[in-house]
Amino acid sequence: MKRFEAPSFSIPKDKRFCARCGEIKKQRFFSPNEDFCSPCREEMLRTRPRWYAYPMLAAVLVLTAAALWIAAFTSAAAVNVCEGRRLVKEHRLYDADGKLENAQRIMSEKEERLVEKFPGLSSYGWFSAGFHTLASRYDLMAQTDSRIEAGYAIEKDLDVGSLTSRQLKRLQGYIDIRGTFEYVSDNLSKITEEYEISSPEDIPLEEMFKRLDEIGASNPSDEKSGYIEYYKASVAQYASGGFEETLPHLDKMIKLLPDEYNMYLNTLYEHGKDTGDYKKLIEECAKVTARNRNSVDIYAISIKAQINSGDLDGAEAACEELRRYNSDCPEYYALLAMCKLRRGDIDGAAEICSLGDSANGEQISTMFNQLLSSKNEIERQSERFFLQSFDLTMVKTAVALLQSDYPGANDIMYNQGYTYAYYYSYITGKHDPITQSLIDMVYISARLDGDEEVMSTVKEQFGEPSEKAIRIADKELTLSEVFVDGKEHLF
Amino acid sequence: MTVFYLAAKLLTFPGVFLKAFWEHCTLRLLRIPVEDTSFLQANELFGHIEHDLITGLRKNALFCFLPGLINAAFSAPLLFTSSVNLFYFGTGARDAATGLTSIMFFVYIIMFWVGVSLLCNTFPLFEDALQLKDKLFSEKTGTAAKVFLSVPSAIVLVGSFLERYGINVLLAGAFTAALISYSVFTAAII
Repeated sequence: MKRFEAPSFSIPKDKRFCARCGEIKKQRFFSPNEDFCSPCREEMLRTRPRWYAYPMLAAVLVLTAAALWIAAFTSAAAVNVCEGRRLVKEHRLYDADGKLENAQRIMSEKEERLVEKFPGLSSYGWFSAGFHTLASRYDLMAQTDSRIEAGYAIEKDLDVGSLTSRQLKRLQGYIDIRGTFEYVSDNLSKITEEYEISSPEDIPLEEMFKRLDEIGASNPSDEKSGYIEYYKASVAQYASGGFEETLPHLDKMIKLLPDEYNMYLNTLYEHGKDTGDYKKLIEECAKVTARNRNSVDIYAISIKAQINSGDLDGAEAACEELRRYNSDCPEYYALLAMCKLRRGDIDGAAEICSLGDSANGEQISTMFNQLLSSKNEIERQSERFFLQSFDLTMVKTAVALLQSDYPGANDIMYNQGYTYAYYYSYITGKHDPITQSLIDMVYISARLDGDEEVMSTVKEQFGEPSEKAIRIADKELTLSEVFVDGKEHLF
Repeated sequence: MTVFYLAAKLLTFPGVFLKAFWEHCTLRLLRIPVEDTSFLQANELFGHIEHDLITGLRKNALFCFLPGLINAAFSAPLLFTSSVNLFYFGTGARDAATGLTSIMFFVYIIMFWVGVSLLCNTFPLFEDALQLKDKLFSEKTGTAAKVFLSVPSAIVLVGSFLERYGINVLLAGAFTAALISYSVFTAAII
């Protein structure tokens, strides 16, 4: 096709002549106002775009096709991130973390499939849910677990160089906090080593506190002081066997580290069980649950505290609040059943336990299967469910015992309670009040059922049951006094 | 002002190429003679096809809207994918866990630039837009057409005016800066 070129001669502005070729126009079929003759017009109608437009078109088509393909799974991930943001605004932090985890999983699965198909691409990163999502997950971990845990996780999961990027810089703060905690712990362990074989009464508290303060003297910070107060509280509790000297240090710790509630709430709960004063605990729990409506374990502590202090109406109202934000979790059924037990309504408690089993039975048995097959690790979400579901087992056992179904109670505790105790002590790596409660219940159920084999297995694995468990099994306390009147607290 | 216009067009040359291509295709479709197929002229015709006078409201409207709509349709998935990943997710140049270079970061930047370029080249020449306006508001045009086309024509007129002086590229730059500051200051979820 001939390209249009301006004519070399000047065309007179005479409508009889074609403006393109300068020749006289044949006017028969066209309006007198036409500028071009018909051959020129025909040529102009058949012109094609310039050749350099085609490669650009091809490139844009390829890029757009890629964009459409990526948009398909990116939008699925983006919806999850959007949902996560909404849940954070509603203070449902675990649910939000679940959504962000979904978003990351969607993108990482795509990357895995791509690298599987084209192994040569594995030397590059491809699809991710981005730094905002990643950083936010660690922020959520800091709020739901602790900043120390977040620091550990960041160091374990991330490449050191990535923390220099704009979006991830702030995560360095968690690593620093973890470092501060480890600094305090390491220095503390050097001090406590000296008193390893001493009995609690022989521990010189004032001297230890002075040495703990010296740890905090270099580069003082609120975090360092807070952790030191925490250890002072622990040492005071161990040395005195009670909570009188513990509480002032715990109060200071709460002021300095209000976010590290996992460190102080259980101690406050034990203090409450010891003294019957749960006021401070309930206040602190309310602050935590206001920040995270998904903190089922904190709701549980608060509701148990309300039950133990006799405020059953408050406890039931709190149960309904728990259910509103954490639909059908096993803890809701367990706590509501506990309220029923305290009201003396054993049949009502049994009914609620049965509803709890229907709502969660499948998830509980899946979790147990996972525990028994993997034996070493359970995923974080399962761990949370694990901790939420053992109360239901405890209450079911209490109901069975109150209904004099000792074989049934023994069966439940041996099949589930024992496994909980084993894996819980494995996960936490320590023997703490929750593990002790589980062991006590296993022992009581086995003893009342006359199952010597279970009793000796428990003693072998975990040691002796507590004094109160022995008193209950010896019938010095009736089951009704324990589970209905609350004279002893097993959970 | 031609200098600003040319600079804006050079910055968004993928959009220029495609816009001219769609204009040419539309002219062929409407059987309007193309006077000059070259669209890389260093004047106000840069990025547009020189064509014969377009008669009739429908042909004018189609010529003014269609190429731009096609460009906008192509820019939508490009901008969506790149913006979500770059600004909403905050994808970086390196993978945070492994430290490997993230190829997609650079792909998203190219997608974003091409998307913005396409969007910055969606309006016709100002003269064509004026011609559409004249045809629309002439006495021969029915009320229904006036009602239906008045808003789109106004948009096209304003858009062509902004494109004529390269202001659309400045607006695109401001929009990009807003997205970046959103990503830096507010996109964190907590």
